[in-house]
Amino acid sequence: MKIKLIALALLMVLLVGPIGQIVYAQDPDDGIGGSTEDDGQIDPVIYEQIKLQAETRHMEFYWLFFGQPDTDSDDWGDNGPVFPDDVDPELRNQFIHAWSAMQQAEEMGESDPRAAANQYLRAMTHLRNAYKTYQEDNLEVEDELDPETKGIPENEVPVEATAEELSDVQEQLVQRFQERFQERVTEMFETYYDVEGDLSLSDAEKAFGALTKAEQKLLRIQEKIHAGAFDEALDDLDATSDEMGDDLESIEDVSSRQMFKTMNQFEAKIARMVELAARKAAKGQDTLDEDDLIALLRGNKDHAKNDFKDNKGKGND
Amino acid sequence: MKKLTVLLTLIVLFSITPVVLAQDEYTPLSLDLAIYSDGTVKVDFLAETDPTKVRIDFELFGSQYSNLVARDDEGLPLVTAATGTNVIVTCLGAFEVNIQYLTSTLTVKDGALWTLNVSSPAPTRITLPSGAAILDLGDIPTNIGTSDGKQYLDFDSGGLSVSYILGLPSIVQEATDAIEAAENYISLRKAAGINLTGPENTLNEAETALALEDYLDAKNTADSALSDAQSIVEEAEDAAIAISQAETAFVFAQEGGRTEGLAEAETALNSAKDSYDEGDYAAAEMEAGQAYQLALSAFEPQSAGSLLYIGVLFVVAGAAGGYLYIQRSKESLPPSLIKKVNLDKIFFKFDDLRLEDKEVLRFLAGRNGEAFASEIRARFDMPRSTAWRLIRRLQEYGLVEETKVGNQSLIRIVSEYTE
Repeated sequence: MKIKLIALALLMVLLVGPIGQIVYAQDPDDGIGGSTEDDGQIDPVIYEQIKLQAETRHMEFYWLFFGQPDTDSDDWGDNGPVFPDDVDPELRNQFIHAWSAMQQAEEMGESDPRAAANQYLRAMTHLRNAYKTYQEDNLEVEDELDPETKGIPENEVPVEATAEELSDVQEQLVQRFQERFQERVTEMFETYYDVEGDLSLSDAEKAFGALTKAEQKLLRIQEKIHAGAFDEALDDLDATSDEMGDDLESIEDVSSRQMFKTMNQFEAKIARMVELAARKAAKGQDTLDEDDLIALLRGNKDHAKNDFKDNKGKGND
Repeated sequence: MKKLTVLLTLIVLFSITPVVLAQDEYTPLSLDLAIYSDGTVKVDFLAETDPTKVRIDFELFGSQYSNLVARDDEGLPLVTAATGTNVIVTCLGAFEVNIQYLTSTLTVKDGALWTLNVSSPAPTRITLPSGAAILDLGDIPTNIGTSDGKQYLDFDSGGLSVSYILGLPSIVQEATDAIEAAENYISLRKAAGINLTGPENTLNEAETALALEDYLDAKNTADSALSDAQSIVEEAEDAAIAISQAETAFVFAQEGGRTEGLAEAETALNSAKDSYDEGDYAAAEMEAGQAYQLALSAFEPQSAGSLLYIGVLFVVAGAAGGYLYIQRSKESLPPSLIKKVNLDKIFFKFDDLRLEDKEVLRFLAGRNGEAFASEIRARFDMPRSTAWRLIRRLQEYGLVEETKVGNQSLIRIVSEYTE
């Protein structure tokens, strides 16, 4: 069932993929994780939770400040809470403001829950201010309220890896990254030969030059890795990766540049997924999900490449 | 498996947005902030990363941090290098990086009021310390819940602010405690055969109020249930004593041969017993009183010295009544009445007691170790909240215990310090 759902999701992604690319290409600032549009709705459960928080705090603070009320808060009527005679006027005002905001929230609760929830938040702000006033007048309350502070339990502290462990892992990752990078460049060359005829002479030289330079550097990095010079290899990989990105960025035609950068991303992801699937398979684990994703990524890659070729073929360059 | 599915879905989404990632080295996915009671925050940040990159520069939350750990999508630890408020992670082609660390710079404390402020680029979960009472929220959360006894709030990305306070006396707890106290009292007395239907109904109302989250009403109603139950139990005890007295008088009359008028006494006594069984204790006491009087006034059908005999009976019945009264008084005698408070021991053991705490303890000692909270307030002309805090303080020292008597709180020095 789960696999079917994933497959359905993948199909939908495939269908909207090209649209997505167009949208993002046109407005690259609209990245993932942007805020959702406020449609004025609020989950009734959240509304009730906020209401409960405000009402409970109102009762608890009344109790803290003035002791147990002599009458039930339901009997306060239109004039709001009943206070002892000697109460600080500022404290009284904040408390009445909070009560008033809660009354308004109660009135608008059914017709406009979002506005009502905001009123409850406003009430809580007044209660916070009331507490601050109370705290200023009753300095001892801090000692009395503050429980024994406990730091983070030992078992919840993030466990730092030892230097030796980090070094071992990094050596493995350097080696893997170098191998994947080489595979990526090889795949990129294939793409290059596939679209070469659709590129301008200048852009073809730039693309070919970027890939050739990266390929040569990767061979030298491979030697360094074999020689055990991992730190040096790491720095070189970093530089080569950035350099290849910059070189592809120098391609003049926008759609050609975009196509190579997209291919670079797809190849990196495909190589990573292939590596993950191989490791899982070696452990005897199921790799159906990974295989589906790899197929999807390859499909998307081909789709993007064909789009590019079709557009160029129609003279849209 | 679920995590993998989510991850793979993210990768799929990522696959349709290559332009975005070509420009940004990472895309924040989620931020978890777990706050501890000393204000320390454990940050757990998850980001989708550009798999073509060897190193990625991440902006951290908070200006100072410790115990920073970065891991890739396989959970392998990654090398990090701090650069001020940023950290460079050698992610070597990972498509997801998780960063965890501790920081104390996201929270600010003002008295007992804590505030967390953070600008989050991703959907965020804020988990508050145990016992935190939320005071102020900068925005409406997308979710509120509890996990492992701690409240959490979920927000969309953006500027987030949460104020909270620790150690606030919980009205929810007070209501629950009041209901429990009433329940215990009623069930015990009910088992002893006392009819407490009225208080039971009141207690049900308190439970309903609790379910409706009207905590104050729940507490007050539960207190009423307890108070009513105590009154009824007192009435029942009075009725039982009256019936016992009437029975004694009846037996004396019977044995003395004073049978004239005794039938009426017997009828009244039986009626008293019926009323008692029906739970009408006031009527039972009244009818038993009548039976007692009738038994005393019964006389022998024909006897020369009957007046003298009746006089003797009066004396005997009076003595019996007096004896029962003393017995009852002894039974209801509070234990503290026969105790002496060892103030020296208390003051020696707790040399950090405040002056006012000592005064209240002396006051209690002078009253055989106990007094109502209202009496303490009246004696020291103290506001309700101050008295409440003082009593709470003494409770925390383990010096006094609080017992609910009706709507009143009876404060009593614990037996450890009485002789």
